[in-house]
Amino acid sequence: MKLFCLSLAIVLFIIGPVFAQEEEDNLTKAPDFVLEDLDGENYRLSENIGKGPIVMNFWATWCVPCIEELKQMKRIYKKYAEQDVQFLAISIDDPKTVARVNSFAKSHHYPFKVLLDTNNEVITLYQSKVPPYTVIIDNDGNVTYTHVGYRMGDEKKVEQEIKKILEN
Amino acid sequence: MLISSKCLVIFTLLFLLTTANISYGQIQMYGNNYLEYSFDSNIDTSYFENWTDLSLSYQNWRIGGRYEFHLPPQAFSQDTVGQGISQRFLEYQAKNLTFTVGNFYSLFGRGLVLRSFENRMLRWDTNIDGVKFDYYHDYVNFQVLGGQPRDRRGRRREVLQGGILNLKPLKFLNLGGSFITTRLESKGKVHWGSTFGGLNFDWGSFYGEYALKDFPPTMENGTALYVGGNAYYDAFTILMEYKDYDQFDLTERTVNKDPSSELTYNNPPAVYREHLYTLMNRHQLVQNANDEMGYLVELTYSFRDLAILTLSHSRTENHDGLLLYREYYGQIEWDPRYNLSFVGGSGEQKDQEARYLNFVGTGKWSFTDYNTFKFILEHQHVKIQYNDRQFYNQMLTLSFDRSPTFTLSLLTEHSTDQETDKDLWLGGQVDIHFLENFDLTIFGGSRREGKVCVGGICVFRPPFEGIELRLINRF
Repeated sequence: MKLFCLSLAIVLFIIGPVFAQEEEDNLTKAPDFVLEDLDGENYRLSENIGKGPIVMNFWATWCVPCIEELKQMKRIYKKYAEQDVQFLAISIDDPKTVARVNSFAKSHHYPFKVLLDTNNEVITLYQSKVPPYTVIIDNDGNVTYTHVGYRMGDEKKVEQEIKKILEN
Repeated sequence: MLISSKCLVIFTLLFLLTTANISYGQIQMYGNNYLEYSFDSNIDTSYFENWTDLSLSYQNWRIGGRYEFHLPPQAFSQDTVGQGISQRFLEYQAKNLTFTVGNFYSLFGRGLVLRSFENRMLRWDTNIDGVKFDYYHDYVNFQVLGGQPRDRRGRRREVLQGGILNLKPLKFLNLGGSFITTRLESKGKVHWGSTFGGLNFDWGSFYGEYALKDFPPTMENGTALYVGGNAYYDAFTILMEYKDYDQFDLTERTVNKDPSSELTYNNPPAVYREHLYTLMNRHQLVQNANDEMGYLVELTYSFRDLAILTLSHSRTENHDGLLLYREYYGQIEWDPRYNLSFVGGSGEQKDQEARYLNFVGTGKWSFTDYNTFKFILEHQHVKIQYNDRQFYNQMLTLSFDRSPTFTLSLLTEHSTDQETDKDLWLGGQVDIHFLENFDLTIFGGSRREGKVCVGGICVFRPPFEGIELRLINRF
């Protein structure tokens, strides 16, 4: 019974979303939040929606794939900076490591806005626990793309999503 | 029978919810599911745990909850066997305020006074069940809260009340204070609080916090000081941190019939470099905020986008001058080409038991736009202090990434330590990303026991041999 229950649960989890995918166009709204940036100023998401696509990348100074992904985000940022694409590098460093975020961002020459989600409340709000985690929000405030983890090449999908929003 | 038909029905209902993409008019549904299953063949035991978070939002309102089961929980966890709704909340959010009733997490300052948080890897969850009010403004932020925190066995403790006020009178300056009051079973009514301040300039930033606790008897009163700062000049950056924690471990360890149940209210900065390399992570300091003082200095030099050199040193002593932890570490990150990168590092860690000499190296080569080879090599020489016993630990991880769908990894560890039962641990892992929002990890093989530390909080994970499965999805 135990094995049956486990197997069924796993099979359900795997096949179920196939049917759920039919509702792809049913986008969810991006939940609003307020976070401090590295200058101590509040950033509110809702005040920035509609000014262009928003790419949020949750990262941490101790997260190796995050640093690899942010290198690619820098490249994408430079390519789209003049097309009103907003990049937010949201650090989930906790109180143990948050002190190094500022110097880390400077030494790695991050050109985008860096926000601090020190108690991981915003990454949780966006339904993840672990970085790197990328979320793209369109001009209407809809979440159009989410992705956990980073493999070299994943950034091409991010670029595709940005282009799609810009074309619309 | 650990998994009953009732469990199956609940699980199926959860499944239906988690795979539905509900959005009716202005009602939105958000959620995620985290499932872990493992079978340890050494002790012929399986573990099966699941957490489902669901929330619905309508205009300014959000309502949500968590259903979890542990049938049974992992051996290193303090959760107990069982299932049920573990969290529920109702939240109202307006322009400058958020009001929450139910379960929530909170952080005051840098965690000297309060840090209620979840870390699933450590099986740590100290959420508070009560009410919380947040106010945000350009010149002032504050939070007041009251509720019962969860201890490590999942029980609710005495109500705590508190608040934090953060004033920003000038663009470059913020000042504030925080306060907590509660009743501890072992001490009666107690209070603790802090004052803090921060400065932000174009060339650097600073933060300082000083905390006091008022516990009976008076001799148990304690203090905690934390100061941290960054400065930048051209390609150089420097990070400095200092701590002095004296009788400030806000953990209640004894409670009625179950002395193993703990509740830790705070989580001050550990002030050392946190390593994700497995061998170095195993020997990081376990924080003791009752008697600890120390510093961290870290220098970084950036060679444009080509390379970054980091030099780091940290030291922690007790108030009698006894060395608890010391580390020297240097690292270079080198990106000779956009598709090729290397990291090399070396350092010494020393604690009261042993000295560890570490060498680490990683390399990554993307041979097409979507295919990447990676390696991680860790080498550690250990010298035990009291008997001069010496041995090596080594780890090698080889992996192949195919973006965005999968990663295949081979993980090996070898040790010459004569006091361990085995000298070789071998495992294989596959990570699969599918259907947009699903991530599956399957590990098979053996893994060595050891501490896993995150920010001074460590758990001891026992040896493992078997199969492990983790499935995460968001909706």
